[in-house]
Amino acid sequence: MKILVPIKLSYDINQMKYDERTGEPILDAVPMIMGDMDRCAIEAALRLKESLGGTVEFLSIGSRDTHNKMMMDAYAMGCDKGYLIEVDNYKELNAYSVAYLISKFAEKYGPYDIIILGNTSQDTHSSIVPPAVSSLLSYSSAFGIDKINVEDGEYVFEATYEDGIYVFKLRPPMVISVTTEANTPRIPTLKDILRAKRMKYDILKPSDLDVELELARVNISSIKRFATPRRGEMIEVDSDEDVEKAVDRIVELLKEAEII
Amino acid sequence: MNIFCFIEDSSWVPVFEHFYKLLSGTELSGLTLSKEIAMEVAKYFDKTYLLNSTYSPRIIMDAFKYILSQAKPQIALFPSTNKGRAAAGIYMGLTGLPLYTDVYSVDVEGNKFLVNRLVYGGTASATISVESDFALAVLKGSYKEKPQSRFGEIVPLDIEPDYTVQFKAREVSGNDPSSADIVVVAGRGIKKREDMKLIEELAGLTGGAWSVTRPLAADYRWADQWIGISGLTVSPKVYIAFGVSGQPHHLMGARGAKYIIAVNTDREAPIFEESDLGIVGDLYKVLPRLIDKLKEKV
Amino acid sequence: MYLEFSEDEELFREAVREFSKRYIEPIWVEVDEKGRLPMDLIKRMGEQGLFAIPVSDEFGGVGGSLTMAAIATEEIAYHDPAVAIAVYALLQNGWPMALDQFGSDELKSMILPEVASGDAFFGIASTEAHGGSDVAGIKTFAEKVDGGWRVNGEKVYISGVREVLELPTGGGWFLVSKTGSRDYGHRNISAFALVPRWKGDVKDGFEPTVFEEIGRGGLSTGGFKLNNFVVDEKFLIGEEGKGFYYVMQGFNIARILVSAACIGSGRWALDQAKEWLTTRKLFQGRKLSSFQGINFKFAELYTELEAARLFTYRAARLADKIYIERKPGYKPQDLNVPVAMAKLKAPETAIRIYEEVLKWFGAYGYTKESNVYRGWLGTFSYVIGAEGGQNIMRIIIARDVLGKENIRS
Ligand SMILES: Cc1cc2nc3c(=O)[nH]c(=O)nc-3n(C[C@H](O)[C@H](O)[C@H](O)COP(=O)(O)OP(=O)(O)OC[C@H]3O[C@@H](n4cnc5c(N)ncnc54)[C@H](O)[C@@H]3O)c2cc1C
Ligand SMILES: Cc1cc2nc3c(=O)[nH]c(=O)nc-3n(C[C@H](O)[C@H](O)[C@H](O)COP(=O)(O)OP(=O)(O)OC[C@H]3O[C@@H](n4cnc5c(N)ncnc54)[C@H](O)[C@@H]3O)c2cc1C
Repeated sequence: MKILVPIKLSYDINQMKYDERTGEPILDAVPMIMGDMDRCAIEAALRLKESLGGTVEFLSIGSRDTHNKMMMDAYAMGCDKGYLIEVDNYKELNAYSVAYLISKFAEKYGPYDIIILGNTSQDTHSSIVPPAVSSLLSYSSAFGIDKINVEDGEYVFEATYEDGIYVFKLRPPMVISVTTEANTPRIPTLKDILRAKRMKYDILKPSDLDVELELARVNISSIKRFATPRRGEMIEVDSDEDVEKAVDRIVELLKEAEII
Repeated sequence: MNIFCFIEDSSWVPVFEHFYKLLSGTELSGLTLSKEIAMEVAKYFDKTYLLNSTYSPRIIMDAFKYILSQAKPQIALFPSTNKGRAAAGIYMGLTGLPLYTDVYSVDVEGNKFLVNRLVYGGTASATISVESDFALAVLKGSYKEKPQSRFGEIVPLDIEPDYTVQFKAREVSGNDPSSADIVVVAGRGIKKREDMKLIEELAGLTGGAWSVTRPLAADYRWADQWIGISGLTVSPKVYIAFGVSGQPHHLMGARGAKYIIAVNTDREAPIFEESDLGIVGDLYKVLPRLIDKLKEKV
Repeated sequence: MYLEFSEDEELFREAVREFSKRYIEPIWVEVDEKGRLPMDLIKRMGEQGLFAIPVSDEFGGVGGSLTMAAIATEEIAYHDPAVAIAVYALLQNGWPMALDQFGSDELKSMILPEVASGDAFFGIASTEAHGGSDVAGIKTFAEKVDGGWRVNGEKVYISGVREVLELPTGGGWFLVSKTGSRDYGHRNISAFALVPRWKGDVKDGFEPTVFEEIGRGGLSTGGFKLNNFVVDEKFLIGEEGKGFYYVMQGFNIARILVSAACIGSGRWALDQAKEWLTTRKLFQGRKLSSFQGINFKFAELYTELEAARLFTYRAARLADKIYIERKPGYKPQDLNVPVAMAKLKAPETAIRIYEEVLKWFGAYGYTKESNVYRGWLGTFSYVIGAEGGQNIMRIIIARDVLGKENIRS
């Protein structure tokens, strides 16, 4: 069985920094990491390989300078082969271009039995690349998976959505995306890391996949720290009278909102 | 502009109507996956495609392929929910059109639309300028516009339902944060499971629903669902939080609220930056007194 | 030297951090309080490859470097500022490395794989009751007998006594003992692997005791009497009469890791302080951090910690050149001063940080709830003397810089 895990180098949004004055993000100061869900995707792939045999390959889109450590990380976790599609201004790629590159890659280097992705990337949280890859390849698919089971060649995936639990039964070839509930990713040991350091990944260009990237840019006209205008009224509660005051204000606001 | 929507359930009708107007729509069509929903929403749509099947990506893909062979919508709208995002992604793969998720508003500038969306885990907002032929996955705001009556046709799709997928609906406990006017939310400031009674009591007294932050649900198992980016997105009139720090992952699910009230001992808790009313104090003092007060009133 | 880490070192730091967050941070207070290292944690650390990092993989080690071991120690100590778990890990890197450098293949292949897996302990037994600082003055004596040695003496303040008795395999220590003659001096000192328990009962002639300490509660400190304890020939480390030379190199290695532990713990304390100072408000809403009396001190401590960090990793890199890469032109004694400076600086900086941070926390810092005191008591073991007293570091530096003849009294 041949598995592909596309992984993304994302901003660590827990460490977002903004310019106090303009409200614009200072992205250069934000560390970039492999997203949690991408890590779970690798873990899911490795577990499938361990129980069913096969190989786990991984793919990222970006530049050697920034991506090298993440590529090493994926090898350290236990992947067999890595690929990097070199795109210098990778941060400007829109979701469609990413999905398109992945699907073109899968056509040329595949066929893959399973393509596993993280349900959302750490920074954009869109959850749209996995379904787009599935429709570009016309593979069967399931997204946002919390549980994976394999029963006689049939893959059983469980996902929890807003209205309840869905259980999908699929056969390869397929594209799936997993959440952080799916597993707890292994932590590479130093031996794994030292082994990974010696492993090389293949570097290709979009043109190797016959992809012309010109069309695909996001034209963001502005990006700012989010702020809905809020009243920002504050009450500090120290004494019992303060409690009274606070409770009265809450009740007034509930009235204003026509709750009571 | 002819606009196509994926109608997950009828609660999305006012939301789509809102964006339809913003985007100067001229024709409104939609896809539904159940007869009941189709009957209910058809009044407000020019055309309602019906595929009577449990949701699965396969069903969505087949339906979109058929619909796209019949008509070329200029704009497609999706809910920013799990299924909505999946459907949106499938649509993007099929059409190659640009797609933006987590959209909370659209401004018009000449013949361009300025699409406002949340990014970086809801900590920032990006504005993107687009003309036509695109798709948006929108957040559920509390839009109260009454949808325009259109009484269009229902078009049943001749596609085989997905019999392989199983669905188990969430138990309806009567506690539905998605549709309540007020949502009372507990965070890790609530020290013991028993104390959740206070939260439920307040929700009961105000005729609303209650919910929690992720740690309380995923780690302590005090609830099945939580509010936030990986949970529910709510847009009540009032969102009132007790002992919630207000990390971006959580607040992203609450920003649709008209008023945000927060009670937290920590003056510097990020939630205060986005509150209409912030109470710096012990929830164990404020919450019981608030409950008493409301009881007096009844 | 410009302090820079390679990508694999960064990746390893992230991995240890994730491990520590998952398995150490949630229990460090309990470990300190109960005074016990959970055996399943030790096993897990072994599986994760956190022991025997600078030991060649031929003998079951990881095949890494002392720099990597320092990185692991620093991160573990950050998540266990009371340092019992960090010290356990550092001992299981430092002394196995010393054995790997000086021991016979037979000895190494017996002991090192079990230490690496977390099933056995291998520490250091040098200190004796009359004064640990003076290794040349030890009284333990090993008498040559047929096929081995008969050892008599007593060692005190020895880390790992309970662990040797409780671990699945057992283990022991890098023991220094007089051989040949009982005279004062270092030429008649030899090193042995003292293994009183190995896959079975405790051997005859080993009489252990465990002391109760004020800090780093998880790891035991005890002592033992050797009463005609018989050591097989194969347990002699290296050559007879060279033990002093070996143990001093072992101390150099271990002191680098000790410094890393103090840096990790100190960094935790400063992070606690940062959070506290920037949120607590007094005198009509002023943040504590806005008072120059506080933020100047913070800046100083921050700088000292960074200095200690530079000393530590510089020494680690140098040790790697000597022992791991075996670069020509680098000698073991080149380490003496760089290591002594790191060991002089790191524990004292940690203590200075704790004393200040405790004060910044006010009365809260004095309660058991704040847990800051645990780091203070834990790191204090290293200004007292574990792996060498601070004055000994001063002696080493003074001796090398001023010249041996000029510091004699
Ligand atoms: C990929 C990812 C996705 C996530 N998705 C979500 C999500 O969808 N939803 C979500 O909620 N979280 C999510 N999280 C977790 C999120 O980052 C936060 O960890 C979480 O929201 C914090 O929950 P909390 O506010 O209850 O707890 P805390 O951050 O621990 O806050 C507790 C608060 O209670 C206050 N407090 C304590 N005692 C009292 C008292 N007596 N009276 C008043 N106040 C008191 C404290 O000052 C503190 O501010 C996600 C995290 C990741 C990494
Ligand atoms: C928690 C802990 C764990 C330990 N674990 C081990 C272990 O595993 N194995 C082991 O062998 N030992 C261990 N020790 C013992 C440690 O190595 C000794 O404490 C250390 O060598 C100092 O010896 P001492 O305590 O006997 O003090 P002494 O040698 O009596 O020294 C007392 C004081 O005098 C100072 N001093 C001594 N000589 C001079 C001098 N010439 N000039 C100026 N000042 C001087 C010292 O710096 C010290 O401050 C441990 C100690 C502690 C606290």
